[in-house]
This record gives sequence, structure tokens and C-alpha cells, in this order.
Amino acid sequence: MPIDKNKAGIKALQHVVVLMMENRSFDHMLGGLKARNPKIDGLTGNEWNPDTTGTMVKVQPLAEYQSQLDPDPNHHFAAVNQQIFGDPSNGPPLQPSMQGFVKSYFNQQQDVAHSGEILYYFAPEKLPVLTTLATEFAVFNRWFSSIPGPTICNRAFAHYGTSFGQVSMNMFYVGKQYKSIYERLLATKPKHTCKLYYYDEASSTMEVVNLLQNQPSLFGTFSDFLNACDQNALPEYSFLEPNYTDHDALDGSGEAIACDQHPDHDVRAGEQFIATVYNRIRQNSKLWPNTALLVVYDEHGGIYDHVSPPACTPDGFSATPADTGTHEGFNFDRLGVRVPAILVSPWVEKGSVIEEVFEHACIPGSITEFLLGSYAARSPREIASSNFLSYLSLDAMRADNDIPNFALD
Amino acid sequence: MEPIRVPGPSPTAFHKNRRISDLLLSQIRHFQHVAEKRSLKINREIARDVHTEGGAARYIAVVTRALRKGVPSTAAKLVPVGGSKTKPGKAGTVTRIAAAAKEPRSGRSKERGSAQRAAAKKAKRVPVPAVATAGKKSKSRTASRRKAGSNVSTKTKPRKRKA
Repeated sequence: MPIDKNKAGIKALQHVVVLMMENRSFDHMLGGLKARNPKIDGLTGNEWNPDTTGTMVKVQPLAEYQSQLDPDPNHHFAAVNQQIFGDPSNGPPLQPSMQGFVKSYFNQQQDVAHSGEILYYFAPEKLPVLTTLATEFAVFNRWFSSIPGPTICNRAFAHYGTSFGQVSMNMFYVGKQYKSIYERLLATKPKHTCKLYYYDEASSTMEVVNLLQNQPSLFGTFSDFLNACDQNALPEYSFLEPNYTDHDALDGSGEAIACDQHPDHDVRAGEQFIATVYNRIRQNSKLWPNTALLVVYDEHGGIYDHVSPPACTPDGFSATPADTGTHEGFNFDRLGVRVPAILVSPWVEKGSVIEEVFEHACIPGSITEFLLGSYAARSPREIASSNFLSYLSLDAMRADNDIPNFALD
Repeated sequence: MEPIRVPGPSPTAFHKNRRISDLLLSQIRHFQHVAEKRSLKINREIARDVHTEGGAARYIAVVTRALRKGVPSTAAKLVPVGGSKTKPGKAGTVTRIAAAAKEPRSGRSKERGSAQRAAAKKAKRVPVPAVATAGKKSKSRTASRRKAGSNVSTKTKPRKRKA
């Protein structure tokens, strides 16, 4: 759905903030919300996978904040093939049954009991930030990762609208035919403003070789982001990266705990991180009415989701069997596993559940349409994508006393 | 609407000696590729000690600073992460981010556009200590938990934590 620039929420919109977290599936984080709102396509409790002994293992609301997903579940292309199609070497025409998650996780430790924990999901009350935002604003029932594969190629879709044929982490130099969303915005006269905020220099970015190396001025720290919020100096477009590592704070002040929610990092640190971003925007009366915040996860991290990923517009690139590690190449014509995605704005209808299909290529697509209008040199996937900003659809802002606040313990 | 309480991570959650994940291993390889391409002089011990999260972070900070030399920082003062500007959180929960020191301006080279596959191969040649990666059998969960616990017990003083 394209944006209607006559809508009050779009007219008011001045800033878009995208916060991309790490490696959790929709059902794992939000699946428990189905019991509260049947429109949310989560879990009934009857979903299951077979384990390696043939026993039926059911989903359970027993996910823990840490220590359960160690080792990190495999989510490279072949492993995701097994999770979706039940066969690590082959994809379509096999049907995407979503029955191979337990067997895939078993491969890593040969521990039958442990392999079943890949089906565990969070009870909603354990994730007060994510579940509150999902139920108070808009949750996407059909936001899929762009590729059935790992982090870096999926994150590339959020920056470029494509991964330039890559299905792995070995994404060093990107093609020149499509510019990043940042380059597009900065090429205009007058320039649009944009920033890519990493947490700190010790966590840095996953966009090392192309963006950080060549355009270091694009980047800022999380501290810079918070300052920009306080000083009403937020760029038109901000992309936030969480802290990817547990490390000593660079100023010697203490511990900087990873807040990316990547297994096996404590999920609560990520909850607090999301709440901090939200609160900073929410509690600034000059920012809240004109800012949209998208919280989204890059990929599912090998964790169970029950919805089969759909086909999509081919990307125009091809990966070889050697690239995918399977018997088949890949034409970027189907999506990866579903991830949590939530749109926050006072112009979003409370409790919205969005059925339209989205993937990360819509991020540069939506920003481009909103700030630049028509722009031809974009990937086929990005051109085909819908605009997530179209859900800022209310005629009037929601009342302030109807909007949640978070208090961090 | 009453504020919704958000619990923080467990006191034992921080584990800077955790072995790096497949994701961090890839991030390190990207930084190594850039450091080699730009002939950045990195302290040998820091460059070698990248198999834990804390070690990887030290190395990443050094290379990131080198790449960002000359970019003015706006992080001139300490900023609370938890809580809010108008309603600060409890003293114990508000943590701080380091002020980024201003660095001298320097030139910046242009991307030379080498082939992706060649770059990936070259980067793979850079030695990285063996790590537990996705798809490989790892140590048992019990052992992992024990290690996490022992890491905590060796701490000598309580430290502030950033969210």
C-alpha cells in the first residue's frame, strides 16, 4: 500500500526511526499474544515439530531470558532449508511445512531434550515492552526476513533493498547499481538528513566494509541518538543498531551489556534498550507527534515460527549452490522466516494488526517514497514492497493519556 | 496510563568472556579485512585476542576509531540511558555512555571496488582463533552455565551496567 501524503499523520511526519534487533522469530517473542487477541497470528499451543525419535514436540511458553539457546541455533541457508522444508539440501518444490526446527537444532548437540527448546516461546508478561508496543500500536502479522539465512545479508536489505546476491555473512563489497538509502538521501539538494547509530565504538556496526569504511560520517553512537532526541535534532531518518557484545564500557564506567537479544544474550537488556528508545521519543512533546518508530528483527535466528514464508518478487540476483551450501541455487524469489515487527506512532490506530506482507526491502523503499518520491534505481524487491508508513492512518493523534510509558527497573 | 515496569537483566547476565558467536566472528572478519586493506597498525595483542566478546569489542573499538578519525563527535557529554530526561530512573539504574573524544581530522581513501568473492577469500585467510559457531557442536550447556557462573564469582567489585 503506498502512502497517502494527504493523511494527517504523514503530513505531520518529520522523523522515522528504525531499530533493528537480532535473531528472534515472531512466534518466539509475540506468539503468546494470540491468546489475548486472536487476530494476532501467534500460537494456539497445538503447534508441534517431530524430534529425531519421531516424537511430537509441542510449543510451550517456557522461553527463558538467557541460557536456553546455547549453542546459538544454526540459521545459515541450509539449516533454514531444513527448518522450513525438512531437508537441508533442498527447497521448493518441497512444501514449506515448518516442521524441521527441532531436528535442525538437534544437529548441534545431539541432545534430544534440548532440541525441543527451539519451540519455546515467551509468555507475554515476560516481555512487557515488546508485547505492550505490539498491542498498543501496530503489529505486523506478515513481516518476514528478506532471506532464509543469517544476519548480514538480511541487514543489507534494510540498507540497500537487496543483498546483491549474497545469502551469507561474506558480504564484503556491494554492487554499484543500487545506492544505500543513506547515499540516496544525502545526494539530494538540499540534503536530507540521516544517521546510522551504532551503540558504541566497541559494538560498532555490521555495515563495516561499505558504509563505515567509506562514509564514516554517516555514523553516530547511541549517546548521539539520545542527545539528538533531547536537542530536537533528530535526522529525518535514523537507523539504530543495538549493542552486540558484553564489554567493558569504553569510559571505564562499568559494564556495557549486549542488548541485541541475539542468543545467548539476556533478552531483558534488549527490552530495556527498546524502552529507552521509545521513552526518549515519547517523552519529548516536540518529537512524539512527528516521529514514527519501527522495531523489527533482522531474522529468526533458527527459532521456531509456524507461518510458511511466501514467494516474493525475484531480486534479479542469483546465488549458486556453493553459496547456499545446498544442492540448489537461489533466485531470491522467496522470503525468510517471519520476524517481530511493530510500528509505533500516535497516528497509528491502537491494537492494529497488519496482514499485508512486508520484508526488509520495504525499509529503504518506504523512506525513499516518503522523502524522495519516485526513484528508479532500486532493486525489484524494493520497488515491489509496500510502505509501512501507510499505517499512520488516523485522522487525529491519539490522546496522550492513552499512550503507554515504561519505567526501567 | 500507569508506567509499565521493565525488569533489567540478571546480575549474572554479563559475560564478557563468552566466546564470540558466528555473527561476531563475521563482524571481526570484516574489520580485519578493512584493517588489512588500509594497513592500520593495530596492537598485536588486541588484534589477536578476539575470541571472546570482551576481546572482540576491544579490537572493534580500535578499528572503528581509526576509521572514524576526523569525524566530529556530538557525544560531548555523558548521557543517561535508562529512565528519561524528565523522569530519571533510580540512581542505580541510570547508567552512562562514555563521551567520545574529539579526534584529529585526517584524509579518507576511496573505495577501490575489489571483487566481493576475492575479498571474502582474502579475509578468510586472516587467522581468527577457533570459536564455537552455529552448526558446530559446542560445549555442554551445563559447562557453559558453570563457566558463566565462575566468571561472575571472580568479579572483585560491583560495576555499573548500561542497558
